[in-house]
Amino acid sequence: MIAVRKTGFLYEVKKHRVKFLMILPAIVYFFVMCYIPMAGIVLAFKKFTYSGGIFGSPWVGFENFNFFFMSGSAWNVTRNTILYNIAFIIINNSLQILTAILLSEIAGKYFKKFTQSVMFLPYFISWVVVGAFVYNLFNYEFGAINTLLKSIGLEPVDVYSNPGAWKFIIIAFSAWKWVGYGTVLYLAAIVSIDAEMFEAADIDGANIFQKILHITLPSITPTMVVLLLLSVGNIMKGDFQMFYQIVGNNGLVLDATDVIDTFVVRSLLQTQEFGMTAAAGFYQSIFSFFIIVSVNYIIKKINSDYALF
Amino acid sequence: MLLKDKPGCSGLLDRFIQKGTFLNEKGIPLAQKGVSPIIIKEEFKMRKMAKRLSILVALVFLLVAVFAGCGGKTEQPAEEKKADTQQTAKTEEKKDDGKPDTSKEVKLKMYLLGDKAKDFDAVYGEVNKLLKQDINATVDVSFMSWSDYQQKYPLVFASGEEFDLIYTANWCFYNGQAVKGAFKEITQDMIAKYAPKTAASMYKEAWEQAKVNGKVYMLPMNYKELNPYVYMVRGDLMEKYGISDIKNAEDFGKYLDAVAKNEKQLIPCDIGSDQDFDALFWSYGQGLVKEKMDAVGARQTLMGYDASDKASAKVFPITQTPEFANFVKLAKDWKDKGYWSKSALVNKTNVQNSFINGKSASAILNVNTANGTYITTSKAHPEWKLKVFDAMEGKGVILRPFIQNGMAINAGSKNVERSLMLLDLFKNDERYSDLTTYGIKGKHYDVTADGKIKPLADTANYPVDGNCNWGWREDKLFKQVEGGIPNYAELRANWEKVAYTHPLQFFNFDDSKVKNEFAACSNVFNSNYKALVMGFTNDVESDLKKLNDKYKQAGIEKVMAEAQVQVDAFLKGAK
Repeated sequence: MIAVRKTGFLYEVKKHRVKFLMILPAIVYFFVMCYIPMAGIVLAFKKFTYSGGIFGSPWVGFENFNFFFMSGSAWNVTRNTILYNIAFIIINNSLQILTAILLSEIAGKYFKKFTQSVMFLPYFISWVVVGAFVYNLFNYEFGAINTLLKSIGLEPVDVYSNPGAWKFIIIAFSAWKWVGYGTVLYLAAIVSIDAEMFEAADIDGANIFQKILHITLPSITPTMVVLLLLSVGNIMKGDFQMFYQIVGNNGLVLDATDVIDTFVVRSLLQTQEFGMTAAAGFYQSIFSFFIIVSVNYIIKKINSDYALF
Repeated sequence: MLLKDKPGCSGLLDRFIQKGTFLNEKGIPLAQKGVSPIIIKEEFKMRKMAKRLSILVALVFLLVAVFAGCGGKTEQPAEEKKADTQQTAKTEEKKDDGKPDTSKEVKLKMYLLGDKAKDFDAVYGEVNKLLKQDINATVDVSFMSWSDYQQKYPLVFASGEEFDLIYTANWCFYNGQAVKGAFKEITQDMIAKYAPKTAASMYKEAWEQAKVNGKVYMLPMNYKELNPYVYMVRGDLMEKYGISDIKNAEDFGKYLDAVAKNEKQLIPCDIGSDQDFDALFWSYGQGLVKEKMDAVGARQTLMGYDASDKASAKVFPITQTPEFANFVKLAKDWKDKGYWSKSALVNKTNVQNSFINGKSASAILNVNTANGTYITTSKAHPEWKLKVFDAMEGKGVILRPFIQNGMAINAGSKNVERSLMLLDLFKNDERYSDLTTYGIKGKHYDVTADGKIKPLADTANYPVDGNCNWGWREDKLFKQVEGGIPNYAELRANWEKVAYTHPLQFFNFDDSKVKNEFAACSNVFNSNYKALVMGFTNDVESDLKKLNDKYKQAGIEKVMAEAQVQVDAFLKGAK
């Protein structure tokens, strides 16, 4: 009998062929949808023409990046994008963990299910529709809020020229939309905690806060870290739909609400220069890459089990 | 039924094999007493493997299909190019033998802008019957709606989709897409051969206007368009508040004021959507800025020139003129008094729809739109007693460029000759022009004794002159419509008295050297300018300074210098 070499890639493939087969669709998907299109990055350094296509168009070096920096808003929109995303990560995650813990402690089964569903619902509502909500709430003349204020004899408020208000409105709507979704993820993590630990804690006389602090929170930390890493990867991407639909093209509040994505659309909608939009995307991706690598590095230093890679 | 197929029985397999009662597919016992169960297990393994293999094969096929799909897409343009060169080669060959060959039936695909009218298919059914007879072709029309044409338009070219004709205009991507090679170049030879009537009737200026870097990529409309602004207001409200006439912006302001004070449920003038936020500036404000001022280049850069000087033109930034500052002060005053919504900046309904739906009391419209609106709205709301007034106050009215509407041919089109022949018919044949502009005779319109178009009840399903037929508008065939603005003739006579042209109206600014600056200017235009021109400011002086600083930072000076170079060269050539 020939001795089989028990090392090497081919042996691995043969040994775990079923598992490899199971992961194949995911590999194919990412290869086709994410890795092949990556070649399109070259467009950021080209002047696009239809006859030349992506690869045949002439090179222009870094010229496509200029518009972004000469507008004077580059720093402002980059800062807004990052700060908003940090706010979303902190606020949404805390609310999600809080509601997940509360829901897991609620005894009534039907009330629990009902609350969960109601909180999940906003996830399915498109930002376009939310934009209509917002307009009908805050419209100066006929908006719901101002109609209410007027009917009880107060002065109407002009939200659309008040930049400060929009920071809170945007963060509130983001929470409204995402809390239900994240709650489900955390709830799943909580449910999978070994019930024996809680029983043991009960016998030892721990109260509910001690149980949450010493059992629930440590047990869901891995979930928290993974979700954190995933959202950090998107920290340079403003949720275009959300910002554009909620705020609209409102020049008065742009200093407070403009993110990279809305800025790019406003600058390039009329010119339709594919190279320039690719350049903006390239800028975002490079930054995201460095941020996620460094955050992962830090987490690895603290506790290597939690790191993504 | 086989045992193994029964639900819940698969787990029992091994036991049955042990006992030797398992049946094969034909119902014959596989293992009877004495036959080794191992052999049967082997057979099972084989079957399982076959199954796995088939899945693998399927996956491989899937992969191959996916990659073939990708490969095909990237190769397509090359193929098209080949077909294209073959086509041109063919046409050159045939050039000698007189009439173009139409023996092979073709299906043309055309893109138009707007939203499809209810009876559109019926009307184009008629058009196709005629086309089949005349040039052995039919046309299939797709619409890009107003709400997303800006995104869709470049995509149909980028995706390599096969189509033949598309609407274009100086405000609708003509320059930008022509430079990128989206359209097929149209030469004098081509129109002489395939569109002879167009070649004969086209205004010479129209052809010159359509030139981008010396080449023509569209057939512009052949229609001298005066398109000044008018105020459309409600006569019943005017009577109620004792306003007898609107002669100028001041009177219009009085009307708005009366509405703002007394009609709390109405917005006096609901401007604010992406299209009409600076209509007031271009109607009323235009007179304020300079006696005869016109804009040059794209709207976003706000460059103007003094049109009273025909020999030379100095390009200047409109936003730095003291007159613009005066206008902003007025706009702020009107906004503060509530003549338009305090949420106007994010209002997405346009001034026309808001007026039609009874939410506002007036509209600032260009006269062609006003005419169409008048026909439908005066029928729907006779009690409003619609009135239309001139907003230009005797200031010079500009003859619009011909390339404000036009049709282009896709660079990848395989039916260039037939597309040109179709355009020739649409532009010059009364049957086609009437169908596409007014609808089906007897259903959508009728002709009165004096040759005017009389809209019938069904006209709402195919609005007069409202189906993106503008690209082939022709002076000879364009008819007056009955039921439009009653004082139209009087208005038009007034405008024609003061109408003027300037060579620069036919000038196309090539922005390919200042793309970055242009993008940065677009950003300023869409944020700071938009807010200011609608009066959203607390301090006119400082916000105006901020606007100009931002334009400066965005490189407006470089854009203007480039524009000046091109303008000088253009005027030299035009002499």
